[in-house]
Amino acid sequence: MDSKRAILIFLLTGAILVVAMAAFNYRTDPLCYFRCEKTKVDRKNLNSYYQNLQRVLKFPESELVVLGSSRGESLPLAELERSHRMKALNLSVGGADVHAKLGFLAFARQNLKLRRVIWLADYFELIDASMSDKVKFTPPLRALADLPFTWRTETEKISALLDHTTLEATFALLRGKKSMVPAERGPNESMRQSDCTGQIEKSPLTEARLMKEVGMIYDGYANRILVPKQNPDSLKRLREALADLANSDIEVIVVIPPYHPEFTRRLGAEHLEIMGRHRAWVQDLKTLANVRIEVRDFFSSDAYSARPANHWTDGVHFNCRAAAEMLAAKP
Amino acid sequence: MLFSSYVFLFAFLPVMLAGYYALRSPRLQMGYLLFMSLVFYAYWSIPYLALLILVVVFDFYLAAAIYRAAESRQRRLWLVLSLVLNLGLLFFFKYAGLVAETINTFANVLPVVTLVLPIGLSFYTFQSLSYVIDVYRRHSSAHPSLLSYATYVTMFPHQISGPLVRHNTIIPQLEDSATFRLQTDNLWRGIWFFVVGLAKKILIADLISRAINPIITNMATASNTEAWLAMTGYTLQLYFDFSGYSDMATGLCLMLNIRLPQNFDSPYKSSSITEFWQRWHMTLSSWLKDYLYISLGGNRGSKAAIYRNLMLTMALGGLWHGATWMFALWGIYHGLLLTIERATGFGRVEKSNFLRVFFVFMLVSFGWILFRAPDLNVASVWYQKVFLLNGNLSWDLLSIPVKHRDRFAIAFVSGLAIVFLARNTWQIEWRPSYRHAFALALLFVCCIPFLGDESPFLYFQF
Repeated sequence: MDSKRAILIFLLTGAILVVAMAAFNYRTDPLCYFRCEKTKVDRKNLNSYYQNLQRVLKFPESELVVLGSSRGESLPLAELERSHRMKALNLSVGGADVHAKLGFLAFARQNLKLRRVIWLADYFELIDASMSDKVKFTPPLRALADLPFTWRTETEKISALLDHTTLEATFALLRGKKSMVPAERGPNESMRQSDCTGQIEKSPLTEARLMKEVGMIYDGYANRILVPKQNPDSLKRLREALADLANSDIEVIVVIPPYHPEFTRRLGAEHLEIMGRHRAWVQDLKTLANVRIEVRDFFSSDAYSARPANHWTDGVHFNCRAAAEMLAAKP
Repeated sequence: MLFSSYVFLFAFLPVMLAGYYALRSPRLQMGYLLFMSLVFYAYWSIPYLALLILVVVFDFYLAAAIYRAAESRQRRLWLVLSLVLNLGLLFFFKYAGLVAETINTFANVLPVVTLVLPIGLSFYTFQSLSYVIDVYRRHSSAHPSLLSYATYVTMFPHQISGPLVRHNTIIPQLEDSATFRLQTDNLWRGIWFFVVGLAKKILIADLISRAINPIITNMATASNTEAWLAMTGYTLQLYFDFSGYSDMATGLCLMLNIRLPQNFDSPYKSSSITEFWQRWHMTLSSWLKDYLYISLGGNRGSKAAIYRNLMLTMALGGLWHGATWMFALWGIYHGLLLTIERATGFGRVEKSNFLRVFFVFMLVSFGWILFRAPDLNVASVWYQKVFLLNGNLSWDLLSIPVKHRDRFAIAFVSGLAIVFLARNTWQIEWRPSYRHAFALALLFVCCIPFLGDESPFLYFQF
């Protein structure tokens, strides 16, 4: 065979395989980026953000929503419902920034009779650079977050058709190995205090092992995630949204959780400027407090610093016990 | 713009190749290649493009002035000017911070300014400088065309991370009109090199790096097993990353009918450190030998002088990689090993055997700790754990994120098998056939889903 023909076969085979992979991913659309213009409760997918919207439609009797990032996922929901005495939805999801959380909130307000909102605040949520692909690419969420059209987003979205994350999600969806339609009100739906205590007692996490976990997560946070400055416009949006809730007679609890004590110590010692920005952010959030908005600042206190393995799973993620305590209703 | 990015593969490269072969005049084609190379550089930084152009134009005219000058004093003056320009830029952007920091540890008197290092600076200044030195030494005449000289220095395949090519390898090819005719044999071989390089980078180096980077960053809490995995993993990552880049550069040049010299020749199969340096980053080794080692006196003089030259060359070669004393230490480590080999005769190998190869592999791996560790403290902790000298031995694998473990294991084992057992890209004759075309297309498509992760090549920082 001559080189010319071999090159043609290479190009043709490559093109066919690439197009086939893209078409396969598009047809299955496991992450709901392309064929999910509207939110449908029974649409199978592996996009945790879209699943949050489905969750809102599936449990319309909910009166309390928790909006957080992955840090809120440890929350024992049954315990929270017992404490607040109302049906709750935990819409906390990994990487959720202010755009995602306000999108979930807007959708919840459209579809639920909300009485209370718990906003689990994260420093990174006001950094636009951290905006998750899932907000930009999921059509209903994008509309709710009111993001402007950009060509960059469109090209990134097309490249998602070829990405290994999409391909892996496609296979996972076809094999049906992961949860595809939200059956629960949130992670740990039925967890109560006793279950939580049992889970912590059985956990193999020792203080030494926890320190290793802290070190692992510290690097990514201190040198990447927390480095960019927050966008003042995002803070303004948050301020307006919370004020609007308060004006609509919906109670708001803003919870500012701490980091693991060693994480905080290192951040203060090695990244003074980032720590300074954290303190300013906490002060900003505290100014939101009024009759309808309660701000709980755990960041400035030394809460959860004694015997950390009892409260933490790594440098930023607290366990179910700490989550239940921080988010509990006032006695 | 990374070779392993969507924008390069699906926009820049097709436009580049289509334009190159659509134009009918070699001069126009060369101009187009130069233009696209500048676009490639500008994609990263427009202001620093001016620096690249400055080096090219100055060195071109300085070399011409040296060539024309009748008096040796005048020739030397132009050479010194070129040295000041190239080494001055290198010093200012790369080493000024290190010098200031070092002086400040004794007396806090200098401001430390952190500058963004112009990408590829170490490569293009060395390439340009070698041309001026060659003209000065009368090893070469001055090239008459600024266009071909500028195309040689800025050519996008080797612009950022080498191979460190010489003007007398590339410019004659650029001046040959056959270079600008479509030659499908070269195009096919270029595709082979490029796809294999891409696979080395995406499917091995990057998958290893995702697992070992967290270990290295948290070496203080790493277990002994993790310290070992980080060391051997980095040994493999660096090879597959850099040789992958070199293969891609070779492939891209072949697509343009330009042949680059080989840069890696299965270095981890070496039976001595001397042999390792004949097989690892071969174009840098040869540059250092010709322009530094020989300038220092080379093999002439007493044994002590030869050893001194060797140590100095290796230390400076180490420092070329980056502005930290860790790189210098790594260079000194290799200088010491080379000196010991020379003194004992260990470097003269008549017959290779696995034990010897493994021993050299381990020596090289120990050296990479100095290369990779951010400072001496981390290196020291890393060595303690590798040699089991830390008091509290542990064997867990908690630092490797669970989601990366399977892929890391596959990439690690495949990497080891390839470096010890397989032939390298240059040794494999990938003849055009249905089977080979399908296999190559399949390998290419396997890489595509990972292109979005975009991790820069390790040698970009140098």
